[in-house]
Amino acid sequence: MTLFLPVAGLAVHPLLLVGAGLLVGFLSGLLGVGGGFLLTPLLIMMGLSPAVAAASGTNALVGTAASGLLAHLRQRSVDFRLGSVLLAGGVLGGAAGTLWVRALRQRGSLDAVIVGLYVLSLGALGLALFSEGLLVRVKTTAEEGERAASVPGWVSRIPLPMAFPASGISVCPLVPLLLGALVGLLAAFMGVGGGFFLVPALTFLLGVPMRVVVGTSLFQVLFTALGVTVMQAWLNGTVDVVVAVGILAGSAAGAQVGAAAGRHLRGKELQIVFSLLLLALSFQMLNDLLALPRFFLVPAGGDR
Amino acid sequence: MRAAGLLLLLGTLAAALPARGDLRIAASPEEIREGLRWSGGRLRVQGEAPEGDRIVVRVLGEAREETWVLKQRRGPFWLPGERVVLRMAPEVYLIQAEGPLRDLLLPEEAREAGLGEGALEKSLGLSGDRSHLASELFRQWKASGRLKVGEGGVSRSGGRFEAAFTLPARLPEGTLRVEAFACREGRIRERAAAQVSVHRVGLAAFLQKSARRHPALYGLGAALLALALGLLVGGAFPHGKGH
Repeated sequence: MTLFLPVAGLAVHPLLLVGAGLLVGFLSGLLGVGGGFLLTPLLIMMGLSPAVAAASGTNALVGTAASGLLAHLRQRSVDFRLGSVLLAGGVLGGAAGTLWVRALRQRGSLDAVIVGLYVLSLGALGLALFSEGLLVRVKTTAEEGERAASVPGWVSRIPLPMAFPASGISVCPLVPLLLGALVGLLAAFMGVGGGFFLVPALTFLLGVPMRVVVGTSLFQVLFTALGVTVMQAWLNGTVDVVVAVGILAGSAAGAQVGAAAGRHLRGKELQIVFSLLLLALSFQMLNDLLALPRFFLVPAGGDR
Repeated sequence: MRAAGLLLLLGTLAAALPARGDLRIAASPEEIREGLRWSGGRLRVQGEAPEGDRIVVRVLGEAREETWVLKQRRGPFWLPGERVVLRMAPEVYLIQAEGPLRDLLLPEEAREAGLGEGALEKSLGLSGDRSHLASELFRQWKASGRLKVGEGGVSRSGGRFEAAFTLPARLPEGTLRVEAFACREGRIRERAAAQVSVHRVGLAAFLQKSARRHPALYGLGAALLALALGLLVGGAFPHGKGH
């Protein structure tokens, strides 16, 4: 039994989509990460072109981010003011990224750029997690709840500060605007929410307390992903909603299993397993760029 | 008496020679419906032809211009380089024949009729010094099921013949032209054609058409659907972590 993906133009087994959603949801529930960076490579491995995989991954991300945001809204742990500035940047970055994607797609170099970005980001993140134990640090801090907010010296010296009372910080709005723009670019190119980038950036660069970091990040991710989905469909025609629905069907259950598993596993073990998974994916994608290609001719539109 | 004998001889000869219009084909199914469960399909072509003829059957998709990119080595990486424009690239190009094409048709006859990889190479604009690109392209098309030139894929039973084709999952909407060629002594004696229409149906058709005709609305719908599903899941599992 297969499922035909009308925009991707290929048939895949529905269990593959649901399975990918389960895995991504499991990691989301287990580790508190979005999982978009894992989803796009998985979709590429199923045979989707990188362009369709990234755009459809962003579409699925709207659902996962909405689900997570709802939980944080209940806990009142969202800084809407900071989130709105991040979002403004995200919309700008997402629009620029989508146009950039369109130009690269017409030149036929989009696939290589997407794969290259994944090699770099997955490799860097995998190495960072493996060597420094970032997740343990974040997790521990999250468990501690409220943390004294402190903006690094050079960031606080940037003129025209703006107060963000919910986060208890005061910084120049250009900083979160630029952070948001970077996340928008990542969403357009890689189909990721950018939580893996935004959470550490908000924590260590802006000194936002962990209590509001994840909720605020999800607020920005949700609306950026929403905007990027519309723009990718409009300008590039690369969003396959069937992919997103399949992924969401799996991720809902996966997140619950992951959350339950997280209560029985130790943070250090999780961190090592997760970082090894990221490194393996990074090496696999690097191999795609280095090894003799299976086919030397590829469609210029980015479709296979 | 002599005139009557001549007439009798001519009549006998005329009866022995195949007449024009005695090649018939039919394709089944006549309409291919691609729904959400479509994963490629089979197309059967049956027909009638005089026993002395050797049959070639071709299934040809609609042709359009396509641009491909040649991967080239830059430092340690394989990256996109030269652009290759294909003049008339058919969506599918499938051939089944009673034997190798070179045994059934003279090279110029095959070329003129557009039969075989050499003829396809020419119609794509990849002949001559660009034929290495054609062989690379054909390797990929064969792997995806877009191109096949089969030998011995036409079975005969008296005056009847039959061929079966595997259609790839990636089969755009449009019309497939199914053609039978009756060959004798290296020449095409007669041709017959039928058409098969390819349609997306149901939800697959709705989604694809929406994505093409109203891309912004489709994108908004896709985003709102994902949002609704996400909120539904968030509501159903109020204690989940989500992100």
